[in-house]
Amino acid sequence: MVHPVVAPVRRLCLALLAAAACERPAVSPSEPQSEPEVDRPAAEIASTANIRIHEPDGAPARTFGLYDAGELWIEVAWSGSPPADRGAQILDVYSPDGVVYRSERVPSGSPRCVLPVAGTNITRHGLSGRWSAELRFERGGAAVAVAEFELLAQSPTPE
Amino acid sequence: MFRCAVIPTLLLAASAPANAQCSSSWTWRTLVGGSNLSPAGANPSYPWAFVAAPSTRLVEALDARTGARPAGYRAPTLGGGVESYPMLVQLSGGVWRVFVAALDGHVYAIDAGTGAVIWSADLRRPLCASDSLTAPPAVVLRSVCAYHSGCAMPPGAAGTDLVVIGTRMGCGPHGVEAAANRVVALRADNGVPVWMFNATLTDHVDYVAEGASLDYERNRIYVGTGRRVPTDNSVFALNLTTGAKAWARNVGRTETTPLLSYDAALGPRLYVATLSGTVRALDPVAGADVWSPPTVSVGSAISVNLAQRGQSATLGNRIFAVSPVAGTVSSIRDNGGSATLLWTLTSAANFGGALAKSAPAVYESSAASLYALYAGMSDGTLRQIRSADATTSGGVAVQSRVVDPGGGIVGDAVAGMSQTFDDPRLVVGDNAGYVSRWCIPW
Repeated sequence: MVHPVVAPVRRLCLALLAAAACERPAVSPSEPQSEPEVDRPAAEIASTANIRIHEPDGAPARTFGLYDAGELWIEVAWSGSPPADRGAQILDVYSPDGVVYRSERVPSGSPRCVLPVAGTNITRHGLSGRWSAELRFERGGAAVAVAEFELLAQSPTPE
Repeated sequence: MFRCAVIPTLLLAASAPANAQCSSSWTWRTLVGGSNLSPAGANPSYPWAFVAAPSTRLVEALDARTGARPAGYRAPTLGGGVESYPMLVQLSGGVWRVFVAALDGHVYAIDAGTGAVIWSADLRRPLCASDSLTAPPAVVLRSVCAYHSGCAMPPGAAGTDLVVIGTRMGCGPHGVEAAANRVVALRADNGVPVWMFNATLTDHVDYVAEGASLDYERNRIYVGTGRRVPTDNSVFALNLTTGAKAWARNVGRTETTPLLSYDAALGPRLYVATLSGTVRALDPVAGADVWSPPTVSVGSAISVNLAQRGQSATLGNRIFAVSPVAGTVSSIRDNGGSATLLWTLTSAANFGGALAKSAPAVYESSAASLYALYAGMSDGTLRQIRSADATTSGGVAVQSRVVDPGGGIVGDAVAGMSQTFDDPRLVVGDNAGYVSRWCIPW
């Protein structure tokens, strides 16, 4: 969870994409990120993570209809093995106003988290806009991968 | 809820006096973490309010007077996040319980004094770990049922109350199931199932997003559903005793609780809001439309629960609807055989560009002869809307208070006069993880 004191800062960061000023290192959406502050074996540094987001029956995408998406599957794919010494992988999902909406431990067997959309506070309160999913390790705060996606506000559904 | 039995107010005025003791800031504000957009679970006879969030998995208690975490209460950690509100209720036997539905598909019964989990019931199907619950539980009290000649508790619930909840099944070809959902009734004392509507999948029932509406007079339970298949039904009336379907209607996709009205002058009503942006009134006996034309449109999806203010023969019913995507607040008057859209407050014209995001909360006071409407906004504020019941928005006064200085979204408020304490109060959460209490009206 983002500390409430830094949440407004984070909101600003997301808005400006000025990641250098954020509490987390700069990362590009859906692009892997290395962490130079930690010495690791070369093979481990080469491991990178990607986050893919899609509806259960759809291809990975960046935009989804607020009322169309029943749920979103957020999948983590590693090229190489993830570091073994940094604890569990945690996926944080940030709502458009920059605060953690969901935070889930990524299952090791099938690295996928489900974000329920239909019938949740997301549709209830019309939380359209730019969301992001960040992967981090339990021991080590920096995000190792980020993916942004957008929930599009929609016209009223047909009756 | 804090909402009390309110005596209908006959004299209403936008210029009615505010509470001079109210400051422009919160009485208390407590960080609980998570996204607190659902209303707090509260009751005018209980001193604590309960909150839960999608990310924390905790059910926290806060002293409604001070905002402190009560000594002796240990917040239970659930197996999943919570997308609805904790249902605080005093059971017929006198004990206080908090019933919570979680994304892990479990219903939890929690001791409201200690936080101990009394029981949990897993409503997932054996082969689908993705089944979940996003609607809050509703509780049928046998003590209330006993007051109504037409009400009959199920034989399987002898000596206890009933916890009713709709499902959000998750293993369909597209994720959330569009037809295989159920409504389940559990014994309140131990969580054992008593009946299950649609157990054999004879009906197409889409996900249930909000709580059931209870009708002791007619021995019914009403549930609204998502309805993503256009030909399916979306409002179901169930027999409270057996769970059997009494009637069903296709009114469009709905993610809100059908609002039951007992208005003596207008007759019984079941108000239903849809993601099509319409409100309609149904006859709760047979499900027929009451209005002609049958619907009133507010122009944008209504995805949060409707609210209603006290009824009177001269002013008629007022129903309030918020459309969070468009950010509007609308007032509808039920004329009997028809309905009129009185006014719609818009982001640009009335809220300085902010969007109304939360379910409207109504505060009424017969003593002060006033009522006020509260809506959480997208800019971190809570808006108080007071109306002289003019037929246009020209008679509506809007005031603002900052709930989240960071400017995040403000959630559903719970407002009312406490029976335990003598002060009007409002409790509201926000997306930044705080819960705050406010003196009202302003």
